[in-house]
Amino acid sequence: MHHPRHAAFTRATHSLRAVRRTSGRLLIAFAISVGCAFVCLARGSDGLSFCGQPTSAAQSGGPIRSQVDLQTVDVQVKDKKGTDAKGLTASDFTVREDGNPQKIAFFDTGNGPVSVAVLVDSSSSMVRKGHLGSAQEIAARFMRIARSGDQIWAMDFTEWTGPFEEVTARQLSNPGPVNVPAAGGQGSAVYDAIATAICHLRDSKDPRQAIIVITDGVDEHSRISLDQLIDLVRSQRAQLFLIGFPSRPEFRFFDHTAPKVTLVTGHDIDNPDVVFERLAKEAGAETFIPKSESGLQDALKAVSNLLEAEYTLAYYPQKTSRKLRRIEVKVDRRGARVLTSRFLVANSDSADTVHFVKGACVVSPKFHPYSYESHLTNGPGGTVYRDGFSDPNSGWPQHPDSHYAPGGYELSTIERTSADITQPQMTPGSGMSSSSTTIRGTYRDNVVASWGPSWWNFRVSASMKALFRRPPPVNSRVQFSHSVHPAAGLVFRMNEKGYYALLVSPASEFKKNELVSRPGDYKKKLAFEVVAMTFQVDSTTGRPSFVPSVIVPWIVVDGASAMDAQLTVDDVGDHITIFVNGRQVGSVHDRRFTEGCVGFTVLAPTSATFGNLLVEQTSLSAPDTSVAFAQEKPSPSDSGQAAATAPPVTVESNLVLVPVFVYDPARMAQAPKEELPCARADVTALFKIPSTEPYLPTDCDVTEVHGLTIKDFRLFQDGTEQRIVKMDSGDWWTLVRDNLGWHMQSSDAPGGIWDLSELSTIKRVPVLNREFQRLAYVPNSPKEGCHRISVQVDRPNLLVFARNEYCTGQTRLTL
Amino acid sequence: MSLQTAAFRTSGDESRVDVSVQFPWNDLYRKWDTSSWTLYARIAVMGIVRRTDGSIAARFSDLLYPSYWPTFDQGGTKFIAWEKGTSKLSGGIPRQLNGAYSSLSLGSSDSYFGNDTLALAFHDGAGTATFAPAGSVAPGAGDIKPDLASVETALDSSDPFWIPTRYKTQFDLPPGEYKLEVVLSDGWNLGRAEMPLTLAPYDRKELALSSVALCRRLRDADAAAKEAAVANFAPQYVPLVSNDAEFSLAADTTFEKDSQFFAYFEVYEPLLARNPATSVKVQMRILDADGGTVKAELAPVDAAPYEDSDTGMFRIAQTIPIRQLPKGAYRLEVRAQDSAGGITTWRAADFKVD
Repeated sequence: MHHPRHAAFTRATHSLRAVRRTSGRLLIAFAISVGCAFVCLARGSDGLSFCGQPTSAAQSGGPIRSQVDLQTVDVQVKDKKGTDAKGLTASDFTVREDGNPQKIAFFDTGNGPVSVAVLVDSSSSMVRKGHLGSAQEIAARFMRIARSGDQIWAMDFTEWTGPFEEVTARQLSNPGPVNVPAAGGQGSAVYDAIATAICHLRDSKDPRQAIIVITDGVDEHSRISLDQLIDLVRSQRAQLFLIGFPSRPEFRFFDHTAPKVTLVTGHDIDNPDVVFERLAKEAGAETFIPKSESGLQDALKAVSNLLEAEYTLAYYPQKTSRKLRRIEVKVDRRGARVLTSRFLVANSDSADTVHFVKGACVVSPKFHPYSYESHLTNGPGGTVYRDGFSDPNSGWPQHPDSHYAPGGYELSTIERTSADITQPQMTPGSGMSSSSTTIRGTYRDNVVASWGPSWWNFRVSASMKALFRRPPPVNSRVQFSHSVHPAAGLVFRMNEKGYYALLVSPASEFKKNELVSRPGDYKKKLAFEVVAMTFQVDSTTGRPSFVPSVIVPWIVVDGASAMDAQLTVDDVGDHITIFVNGRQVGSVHDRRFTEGCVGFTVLAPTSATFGNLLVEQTSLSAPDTSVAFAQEKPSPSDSGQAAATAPPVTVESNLVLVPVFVYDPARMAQAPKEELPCARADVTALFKIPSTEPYLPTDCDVTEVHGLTIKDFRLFQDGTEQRIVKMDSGDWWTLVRDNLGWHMQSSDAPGGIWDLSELSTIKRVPVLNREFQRLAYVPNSPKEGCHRISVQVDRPNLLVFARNEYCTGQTRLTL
Repeated sequence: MSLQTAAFRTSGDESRVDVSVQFPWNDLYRKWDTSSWTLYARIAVMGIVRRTDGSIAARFSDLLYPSYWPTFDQGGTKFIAWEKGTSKLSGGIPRQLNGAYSSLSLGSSDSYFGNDTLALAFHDGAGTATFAPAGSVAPGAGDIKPDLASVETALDSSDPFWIPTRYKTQFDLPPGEYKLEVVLSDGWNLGRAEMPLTLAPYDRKELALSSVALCRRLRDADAAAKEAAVANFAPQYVPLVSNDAEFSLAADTTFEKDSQFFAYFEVYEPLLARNPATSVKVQMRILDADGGTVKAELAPVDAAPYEDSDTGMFRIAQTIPIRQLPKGAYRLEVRAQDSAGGITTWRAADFKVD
């Protein structure tokens, strides 16, 4: 059952990959993971709008320190028959630290209370394997087999962490409706989640603490490293139990010993096998790998048994400058042997490497930033990401085929040999002629690199200088598909489902599926193509691949060279617009991939250097951004309708907008003195100025809190924290004077405008201009029905008013 | 519930469709909760544009919480806290005051605004209300007593401030035949309207005409633009602007005889790019509802004053005289003609005179 390197250990990101070895490095050729460590490492930290880290806060606090310097050691004692030895007392044990005997200050025979935190990886990769249940549910299951005095906590996590909530006995007796957690974002932040749980447990008074983590183990989003996590675990009391979840077919391609695995984006993440192994060996974690989801209960029982069978010894260690201290425990009973996994512990100072947001157990974005975050700024439309690639530490992949280079970031397949390349099977009738010797051996290879936040509505542009080795011979009559023609370009909306690629190639014309280049045209003509690469796994073989789908077939553009071009993609809603050298050359609608990272690609035999990457968030007012339709409880007129002749009206929406008002109660006392006179003057002005002059109201509300950024907010849906993808602000209402009188206008969402009723007969109206914040998030699991929304602001003593409910857009409405 | 749409060319291959919905505000469900001092009302709209095969081509949805205070369902905490800040009382019961502080009557916390505003005060248990607006006379002990029925009445009287009656939005569509379905909900009742939507292709080579948008409201375009920029409402909304006036598409196309009635439309003349001297004229006429009989021929309009030099189009708005028309249903038809012999088909919009 202990098993750091189970052959079937799986990760399950959606990163399926064809694996090959290149120079000893594991390459996951076509992997797509979900997030942006590859996709979306964008859980924005300081003020990041995209993949916003909803748990970030303005202030960052210090690291965890043990409040009591009590060093605990959990041990099992087996007799010579291998069964648990019982009935031992403290006097039967001897504890030494670095060889020095220690006085046992606390002793427990396994009957004492334990504070147990149950962490469940709710990322979509886990959910796709079948709902294991929410952390609350699994914690409740554990509670049933645990002892009555234990204190059980539950926390779901994906790339962000959900609330850390205690499970009560009352919930056991009256569990209420099953609440399967929302399918999380894209990938997990396992290390950060464990650190968060450790942080929460520091307030527990129980000397015995345990953290049960149910995960598929691949960490794509954590701010802290595995080394930092190991140091943290070593320095704290909590014992770690890892329940790894069964593999997916693609993991047969994993090398189970390589420390890193490379995603299709070019990014390396810790090999989950190695993660489990290191946490077991270096941090004393107990690991369990059930063979199936049904084995979860057995694993929980095993954890419970372990906790029950353990003796807990604790002592006050003497201060030492050594970072690591070795603990030995012996028992004075013939034939008995002591088993402990925690023989190395660290001083609490070791936890200094992990910093948390002040007042919250959230890993600090300030102290643990993503490497691209220093390249983010705020622009008029939202977040702006710039990278000129002069800083080799800005986070882009560093591999022989994708690396920083003078003048930019270079991708190349040219240095590869055919032996390096895993040749996907050629499909019959692919049109590739054997005469195409110029690209034989490498023609199917490609290189992709992406990094940075995950973008929703955006414009990406970059310069490209490309070398297309041996372009197709003139009039070769070779039929090229997009996947075989040498090309280079941008990738965008790269997520766990796939990505779009804008490919550019030198060409003179395209007809009858032939892309023909003439040497004289290289500097004045190019062809571009837009392809959707959808990720899939063969259900039989488990082999992953990308399925290309041409959205825009090759189009030849005059007056531009593929060897030196400025490429731009404007991607708003499902509308993709292509620009070459600033000139719009095409547009298309496609809604396969709704958000994701940007990056670059080359198709062999090509090398290209990209520079001046600029990604700008555009307005929320995308053509297809629509808020979910809010519906109160079923109305009489609705419920009374059976099948009507009209078809049901549905709105499919994945963006929920939440207006939020934030006030400072400390300023309430000033309100009467300051707001009313201000409003009075304002309204007076309204009726004095002519209608040809704009009425620009004063912000009279002295209680409004200004200067909030996206990182100040946390948003929960049905108790699960959501990733805020955008924050906008504006007036809640304004006044309109027209030929018929005056009225007010209001808008909570940026797509439309509500006119309020005519107020022409009213001449004196107290209207306080109000500003509000508009948060946008994409529900993790757009389940049918209504959902509770709550918003928190990570600042003390504020009043927060926010939309508190939304209902999914699948509401049937028939009249 | 009334609905009108109008389609205008964009710089791309698509048309921008303006949608306007109107509904009677007084029929909308809302509830004042005097215990929390909150107006519970949620007005939601959603629209679906279907292609002829039933697939969805575009959609929109929106909702509004027309709270008196922006408190949503969390009660009047802000207001209560606000009042607490003035009175330093805890646990007081919010009451309504009038300017003279007479009991059982309605009024305002601020004499300047008369009955147009509402405010609350707290009874401190000793009969003293400590919130005394400027210019008012402090109340005597025991003056203030709760009168929830009166409070309800007062709150109801403020309805028009906060209840919507129109909604407008825009979306882009490629040429084709569609059907627009719009549903309005107040959480209790539903209203539904639908209409066909035909967007003709435009080859950018010939003279063309947009939809004819019927309007009854206009305002100064420059002032409106500045106000809109500050408010940050629907930042990509494209207003209908002709000669510095911004027109609003009317959802209800029934016009009273003495009411103002405008038609807004755009003329697209590709010849202007090659020959700026090209002239365009517009013909307008009113027919009966079935288009059989011409009821009025309006004077031709020279489009030159309406040329938008930025876009190369003519953005024209005209007052439509209906005073002389008897009550009934009519059709307004518009077509454009250029000096090169180009001529558009008649574009029509139906309306009623009441």
